[in-house]
Order: sequence, then C-alpha cells, then structure tokens
Amino acid sequence: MSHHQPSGHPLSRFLDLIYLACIWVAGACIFLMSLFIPWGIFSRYVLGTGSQWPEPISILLMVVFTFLGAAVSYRAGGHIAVAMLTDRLPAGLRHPLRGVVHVLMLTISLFMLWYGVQLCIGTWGQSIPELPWMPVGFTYLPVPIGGAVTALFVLEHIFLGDQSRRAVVTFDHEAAETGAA
Amino acid sequence: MEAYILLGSFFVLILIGTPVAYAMGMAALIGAWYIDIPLDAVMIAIANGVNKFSLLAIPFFVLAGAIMAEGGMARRLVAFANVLVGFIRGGLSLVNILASTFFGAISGSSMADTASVGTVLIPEMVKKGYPRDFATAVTVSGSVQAILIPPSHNAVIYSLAAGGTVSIAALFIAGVLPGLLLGLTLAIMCLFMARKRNYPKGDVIPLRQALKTCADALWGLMTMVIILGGILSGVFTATESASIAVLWAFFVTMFIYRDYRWNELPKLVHRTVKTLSIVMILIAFAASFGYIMTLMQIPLQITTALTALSDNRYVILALINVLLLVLGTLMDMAPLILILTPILLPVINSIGVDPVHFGMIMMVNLGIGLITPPVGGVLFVGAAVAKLPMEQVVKALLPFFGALLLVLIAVTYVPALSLWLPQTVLSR
Amino acid sequence: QMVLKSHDTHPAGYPTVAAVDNMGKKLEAATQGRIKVQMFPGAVLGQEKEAVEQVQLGAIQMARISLGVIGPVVPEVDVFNMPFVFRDVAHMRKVIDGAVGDELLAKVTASPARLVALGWMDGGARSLYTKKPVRTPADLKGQKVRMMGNPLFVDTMNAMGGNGIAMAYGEVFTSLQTGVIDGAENNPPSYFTANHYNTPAKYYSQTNHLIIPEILVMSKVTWDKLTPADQALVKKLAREAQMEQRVLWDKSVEEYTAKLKAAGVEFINIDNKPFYDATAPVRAKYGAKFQDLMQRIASVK
Ligand code: NA
Ligand code: NA
Repeated sequence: MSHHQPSGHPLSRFLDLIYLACIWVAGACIFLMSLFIPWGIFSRYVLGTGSQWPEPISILLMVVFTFLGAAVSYRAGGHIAVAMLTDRLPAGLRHPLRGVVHVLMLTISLFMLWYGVQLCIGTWGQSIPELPWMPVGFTYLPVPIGGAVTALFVLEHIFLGDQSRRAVVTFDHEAAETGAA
Repeated sequence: MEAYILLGSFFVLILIGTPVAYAMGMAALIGAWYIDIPLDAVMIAIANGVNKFSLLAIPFFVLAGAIMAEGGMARRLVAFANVLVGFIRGGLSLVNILASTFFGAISGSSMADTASVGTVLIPEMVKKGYPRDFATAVTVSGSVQAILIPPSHNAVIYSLAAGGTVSIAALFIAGVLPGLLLGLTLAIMCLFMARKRNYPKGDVIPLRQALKTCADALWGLMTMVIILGGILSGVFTATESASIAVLWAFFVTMFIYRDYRWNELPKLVHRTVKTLSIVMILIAFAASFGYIMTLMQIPLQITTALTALSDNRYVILALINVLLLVLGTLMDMAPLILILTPILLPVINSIGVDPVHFGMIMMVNLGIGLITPPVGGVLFVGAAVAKLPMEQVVKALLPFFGALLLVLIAVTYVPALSLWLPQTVLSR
Repeated sequence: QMVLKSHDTHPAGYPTVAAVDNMGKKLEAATQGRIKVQMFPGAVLGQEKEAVEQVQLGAIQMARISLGVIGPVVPEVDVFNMPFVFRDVAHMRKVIDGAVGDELLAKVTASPARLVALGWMDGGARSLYTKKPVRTPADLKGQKVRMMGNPLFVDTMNAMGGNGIAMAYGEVFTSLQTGVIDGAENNPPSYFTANHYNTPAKYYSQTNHLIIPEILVMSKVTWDKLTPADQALVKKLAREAQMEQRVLWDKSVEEYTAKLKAAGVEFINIDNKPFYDATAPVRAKYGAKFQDLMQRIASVK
C-alpha cells in the first residue's frame, strides 16, 4: 500500500491529532487515578473520615481511558484477533474477509455512537448517589465519543489504508510491549 | 438454539479475524436481536462493563508492572536471581524462572513479566548457547507465576466477582505455595533438560559484587513487603495497594535507580494506554456477552449439565478444569473470571470446595490459557520479544505444558496447597 | 405467552426473591399460564443501577430495587434514607402500607422514570457490627465504620460518633478481616450471608439507625402491554407479595440471628435515643425539603 510514508494523507494527518489527543487524555486519566486513590487512603488517616470522591471519580477516569484508548489501539492495530484461519486463506478470500471485518467494526462503532448518545440523553436527568452533582449520562459520554473516534479510524483504514506503521503510531514501539494478565 | 446463535456467531466472527473484544460485542448484539431484547440494553451492559470498582486494580497493577519492567527494577531482580542460581548447570534457565518468581512477587502481570525478563534473558541465553525457542518457552511458562504469587489483580477480580465473600487477603496468601510449586516444577524440568542437552553453567559471582547486587534488588523486593504488609496490617485495601505499588515503583525508578529518563515517560504513557485499553475493552464487551448469556440462561444450563453428569466432586472439578482450559485458549483472563465466577461458584459450593481453593484452580487454569494459542496474551508478547513465530514457541512449550498440567492437578486435588497457608496466617 | 424477567441483587431463596417467585406462581395460575415470571437473582444481570436502566428500556420487566437508585429521579423517596425516620420496623410497615406509601408509589409511577411501582419490600433495620462493643456514641469514637456510598450515610455515621467510610461492598469483608475498617452496618441476614461475622467484627449493636424499605417495580413498556384486568391482577398480587415478604423476612431475621449467635456474635440491645439525638443535625440538613413528609411519618401510630 502507498500510505505508509510518515507524512501520510492530509486527512490522516488530521486524524493524527485526534489520535494523539485521545492518548494524552487517556494517559492523563491513568495519571490522575494513580494520585486520587492514594489521596483517599491519606484522607482516611488524616481526616478520619474518608473522602468520597476518589473512588467514583477514578472509576469514571477508567471508563474514559478504556473507550478512548480502545479507539487508539484500533488505529495502532493492537487489538487481539485470531489470525490462524485468515493467514492460511488464499489472498482472493482474505481480502473480501478483511472487508467484512471492516464493515463489522464500523457497525459496532456506529452502534456505540448511536445508542451511546441515546443512553446519555436518557440518563442525563439522573445522578449517582456518591456524587449527587454528577449526571449519570455524563459518566456514559466516553462510550459514544470512543465509538465516534473508532468509526473515524475504521473509515480511514478502509479508504486510506492501514496506519499502524506510521511514525506517529509507532512512536512508542522500540521497547517490547508490556501489559496485563 | 439461542445458545448456538450467540456462541456460533462469536466463533465465526473471531475466525474471520474480528478483534476478539468486538466479536463479543457483535455476538451479543446478534443474540439480543434474536431473543428480542432492545439493543440499548446491550449498550448499558457494555458501558457498565468497565464502570466497576472491582476493576480498578487492573490499571494500577499493570501500570506498576510496566514501570518495574522498563525502569530497571526487573533487570535488577534478574541480576539478583543470577547470584543465587546462575552457577548451576542450565543456570540461566533457572535464573529466568527465579527472576519470574521475584517479579511475580512485586507485580501481578504475566505480560510485563515476560516482556521484562524476556528482554533481558532471552538474548543472554541465546548468546550462551541455549536454543532461542527453549529460552522463550522458559520465559513464557515461568511468567505464569506472576498471577499466582501475590500481588495478583486477577485474585482481586475473582474476589469481587464472587460478591466480596471471598477474602482478597486469603486469596493472596493462598497463591504463594501454588506459585512456588509452579516455579519449582519448571526449575526441576529445566535442570533435567539442561543435563540431557548439556546446557552451560554460569560463573559464581564474587561475594562483593553479589552483595551489591542484592542490595540493589532490595528496593524492588521491598515492593512486596509494602503491598502485602500494608494489606495484611489493614493500612489499605487490596485495590488501594495497587495504587501504592504504582507510586512506589515510580519513586524507586525515578529517584533511587534513576536510569529511566524523564523524557522517556511519554512513550511509557503511550504504551500503557494501549496495553491497558486492549484489556479493558475486552472486559467491557465481555460484559455484554455475559449479559446475553445470562438472559438466555446458559449459565444455568451449564450448571445443570455439570451437576447432572456426576455428583462426585473430583469428577466435577476435572470437568471444570477442562472447561476452563478450553475457554482459556480462546479468551483473556479477566473477562473469563468475570463471566465464569458467578456461574461456577454455586456448583463449587454445592460440592463443598472452598472458594479460596477454587480461586487458585481458576488462576492456574486461566494462567495456562495465557500461554496457549490461538489467543494467549503472554504467548504473543513472548514470541514478539524473542522475534520468533508463535508456532515455534508453541512447539518448544509442549513439555512445559506438561509441567503446568501437573501443577494444575496438584492444585486441584490437594486443597491444603492453597488453604494451609491462609488458614495459618489469617487465623488470628 | 408473556415472560416477565425479574431481577434481584439478592441471592435465590432470599425473602424478596422468594416472595416475587411466589407472586409469579400465582400469576401463572391465575392467567392459565399466559403470564409467568422468570427470576434472575444474585445480580446476574448487573448491579441495581444497570438493572433499573434495563427495566426502563423494557429489556427486563421487573426488578426489586433499593431506593438509592430511585432517589435521583423521585427525590421524595429519599425521606426513607433519613436516620431514625422510623421508630422501628413495625412503624415503617404501617407507613408503607398506608397513605404515605401509596403516595410515594404513585409518585414513582408518575415520574419520568418509565417505571411502574408495584409495591414495597421490607429491608429490615440496619444496625452496627464492630470490633469493640458499642452502647453509646462515645463508644464509636475513632472507629472506622463502612457506610453505603452516599454523603448522607457517611454524615450519619460521623454524627453517631464514629468515622464514616464509604467503601465498595465487595471490599468490606477483606477490610474487616485486615482491619482497614473497624465495623460496618447491615441487617442480620446480610451480616451473615456476606460472611462479615467471620471477621473480628463480632459485636452487633442494635442501633436500628437506618430502616429503608425497598421497592418492586415493573417496566412501563411492559405495563402498557398488559390489559387493564391483568394490570389489576399484577397490582393485587404485588400487594400480596408485599405482605408475604415481611413474614418471610421476620423468619429469616430470626433464623440468621440464631446462626450468628451460634457463630459467636454478641447481640447488644441498646437504647438508641442518644444516637437519635446525635443525628438530629443530619435530619435537619438533608431532611429540610421533606419536613412535611417527616411530620406525617412521625404521626403514623
Ligand atoms: Na504476582
Ligand atoms: Na489462550
């Protein structure tokens, strides 16, 4: 494919900004969580009665980085998939199948966008007991936003090709990946 | 029929290469449509899948593991292990396993373990004449210790998936002996293979240097003291301890060891965002999958089927092991714990197995799942670090699977292995 | 045939679950099998907040829920969250059976929550269980007690003399065991089933500080599909379930109290007047908007 050069299509360069914004917002969420929960411990000892916000706020931050980060990981080609069968197929079958997977990814991203927005609207008038000032709908916002960004990246993949080897995406590659489980 | 629609579409979707997380979400949508559930409900399940307190331990322990792996803590633990066992024949393979034991004692992440120990030791082992695939297999199987030896975020998830009636402290302590048994079994196997294949010995480290290495590693090993000590003495909860692990790992890396540069932190952030969100989105979509399964009453059918097959607890445990191993080949650990714990715990209770013991059985099973194809996160990382095709690593892993199965059988059928230590420590 | 999927966070066999199960059997018999209830106990379909959202959509048809999730939509029900708003469980039952109870059910049904409130369920009275025996507010000094995550409840504990700590329910057992907290509060059946008596917190001081009834709701979507005759039938059977549930509840409290005592828990009968007085500022602060309602509740004899 012809779109792997670091500069990329102008639209891809615009999407680079969204990509980076998502990473930095997600990263900030993880950073803040790592401070809020220890603050909760601290306040339990120093103030006697614990602060109530660190836990629900940290959970909210976790939701934000999950859905923004998942969009980012899609663009970086990071999601776990089974290649056992598709790798053994002839190219004539592999390409249409890849198209099918793109369409499925687009469908589920748009599903997250559409129903996510519905869910936000439907629950905006309610609040969570721990944080009476916070609308439930607000806590669901990361879902449609993550869906929208993923949909953009899927469309980009369909029309402009795979972006997972562009410099902006491989910026963090040099060391081995580390992770969960 | 409903079950076939749900599971069938899931398998078809992953076989054509849909990312596993999204395949679960898509299958849930198809299932919901088939049993006439509003699709919004699937959305609610997805959105709430990660909107859970019980999951907070994952980002913290994974981030702490990443900092330890990249920041030099892991490298110092390897050096420490080398002092202790490097001079034996096949020494580096033992160093590899012992380093994983140490790393497991400060982190719950097998992937971080494989990445860090593997990055240091696989090239080193190859240089000293070990086959690359053997070195990788040792690294990958040894890293399963990390989820058994405390701390373990998977144990936290299990406890909370069990409705909080299983003590996290007890689970942590319960993992010590099975984890050590796993390390020991692998070490014995490596010793035999080393003798048969004449793998090299390392040098005895001079005392002065050995002492310095130990002192250096002490900061890393302190993590374990802080985490376990803090939990057992009631200073903080298990979930909170994970955030303390992050702060401690960061402090030691940046201010004590000082060999990780501040300008490398953005890369660490980028990597952590990706690895974490991949895990978390799996959990989110798995929640919707589990939700539709429940509405179809599949868990109930599984329970009924299991108990109808036999009322012998050993047989039921064997069946559950098979179920967990099969599902573990396909799916990631955390979503499986979340989906399966509520399904299996009633069965377990009805045959009189202690839930702490069952937690360990689950950890070993799903830990094996992390290193089996087609979906095995640790296997992927190991192959990537070693720059080997996955198939070759799997081939080299075959004898190691044997060792792991032995440990699984021991953990399943010797409850004392899991229960003796927590009963002794926690009965104050 | 219509299948009403019913959700409960409590496990199978729990009084609320058993009462709704029986209601389902009667409903099936009365409609010759046209309508039946399929029970999903033990929070298998999610926690209460998710369950309510699913009931609102009609994905689940019925649920037994706590007032915590209704309060944000129908603030009046929060009056039941006030510490010592009821003199005792009998008083609470009179109130929910009477005019105030009916009015609040109607308010929930009329609210934009897309729920039909069918009836009340009894959650009993919550009391303290702690490491050290508690008889007076002074005994609570310095004790960290886990409360449900709502500023009102944490303030209640602080007013009662202890240190209120908001903590996820799933972490309470381990935290009692290791000593992160010194105590928690709940009714005897939950104290037992959550395994919390298997920790150093073995003194159950019967403060009865919170008596919060629960509510059985049906999805508006489902309700609108029922004929008026079926709606009346459901309403009638729900009322019967409300009455049956409290009989089951009393039996379960008795049974679990005996089990707890056998396991070495010491039940401490106390005069809760000092705690009532100590929490007056909390009622003043959070109850300002329900003064009339609280007056009416107090006047129910
Ligand atoms: Na560990
Ligand atoms: Na696997």
